[in-house]
Amino acid sequence: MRTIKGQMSIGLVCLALGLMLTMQFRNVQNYGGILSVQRAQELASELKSARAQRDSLQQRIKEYEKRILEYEEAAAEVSVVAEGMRKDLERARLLAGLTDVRGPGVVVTLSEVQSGQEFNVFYIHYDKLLKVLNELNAAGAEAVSINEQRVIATTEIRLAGSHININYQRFAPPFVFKAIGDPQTLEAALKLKGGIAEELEYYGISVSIKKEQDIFIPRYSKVLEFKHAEPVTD
Amino acid sequence: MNRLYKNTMVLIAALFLGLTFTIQFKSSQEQVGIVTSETVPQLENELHNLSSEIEGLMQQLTDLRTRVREYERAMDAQGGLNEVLEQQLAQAKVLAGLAEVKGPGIEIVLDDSSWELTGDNDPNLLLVHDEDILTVVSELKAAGAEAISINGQRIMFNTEIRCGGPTININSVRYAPPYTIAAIGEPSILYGYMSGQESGYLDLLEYYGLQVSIEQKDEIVIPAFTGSVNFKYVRTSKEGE
Repeated sequence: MRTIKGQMSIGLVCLALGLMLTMQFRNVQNYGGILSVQRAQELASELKSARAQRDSLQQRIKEYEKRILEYEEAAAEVSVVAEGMRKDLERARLLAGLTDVRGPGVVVTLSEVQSGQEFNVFYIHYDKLLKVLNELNAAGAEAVSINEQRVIATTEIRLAGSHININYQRFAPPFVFKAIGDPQTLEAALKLKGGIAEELEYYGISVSIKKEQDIFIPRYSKVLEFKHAEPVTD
Repeated sequence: MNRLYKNTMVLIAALFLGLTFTIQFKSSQEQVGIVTSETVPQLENELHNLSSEIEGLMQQLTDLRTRVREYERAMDAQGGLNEVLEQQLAQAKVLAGLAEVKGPGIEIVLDDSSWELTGDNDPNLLLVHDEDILTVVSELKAAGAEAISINGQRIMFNTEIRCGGPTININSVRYAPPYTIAAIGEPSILYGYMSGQESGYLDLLEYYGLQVSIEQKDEIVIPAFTGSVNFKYVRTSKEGE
């Protein structure tokens, strides 16, 4: 009697242990395992130091820009010509996407309806991202960013292996478009009957559109320079 | 006595085990959250983006330093900042698409199909669509084009390319085929990209029967944007906002 009890409890313990092992194993399979955890931790710490570096660079850039602005303002005070040029310069830089901007508009988030599928719908229909941008432009967007990448005249949206390149940076879904312009018009253009939002939903991409009164869109994050195109002077 | 001792041991072991589990779970949560098989590539992308952003910021900083030095030198000289501002303005206009530019590049011409329309093919397949041009333009940008125009209309940051019945609207101006897409950049790279396996999109259009031609040029002139951009909603975000 006693031995049976003992054996049964051992049996139970073994069962529980077996279950735990299996679950642990499955977890490891689903969640990448110990190696990925180590790699992820490595990457996370690298990311942390890279972020710190970026922040300090941004801080220094701001300081220099402040100085330049002070010089320009001082020059504009004494010379009307300088003042005119300063305004034109600001406008040209705005058009080129070289300044941070704010304004009302929409935030459009595109994500997969069913995530974790073997085939990511965005990689099949990446050209739809171009269409969304095109519709926003047609509806009068004055500045657009996709995943915080400012859209400038040379911004590409392109499938490159297992990610999508925007300004030569790599992205995976979700894709967040921010567009400054008339919120009503921008929203209506996307939500048009038979329009892009319907099309995306048909392909299994969910579209959320939020109208907002104050959107921040960052400037183009690199130095923009042309190597081949030069101004025509006559 | 012996039994009590055993029970206590089991209790201690169980407590220990529970603690270890909790610590393990908490520590892995704190560091990177739960690591899924998608986490690593995600982090890698993020790191790649951040490194290239840092590179860009360093360039910006170097640029700004030079600018500050130029400004300081100019302020000491006669005429103040005017000359420097003029230079800055000319440069910004080129980047914004407000100045006519020239340079080497390629020219792509797209035209509707010359195939006869028979009863069983879809006439839609024989036309150049807005989406075709949109994709070609995006591929050109990916290949490194610096300035692009379609039938002489400069592509700006907010240019729409949109079907308006039989014609296509670009910067709110109507155009009909053939569409001549001009791009300034390294001609061999642009040509290789657009005609080779890298893009393959032009081949696809040709397969469907559209008339496609692509040619390298030593000099292409791309006009300035002549329309107007009315900034009604956007404003520059100054520091401290």
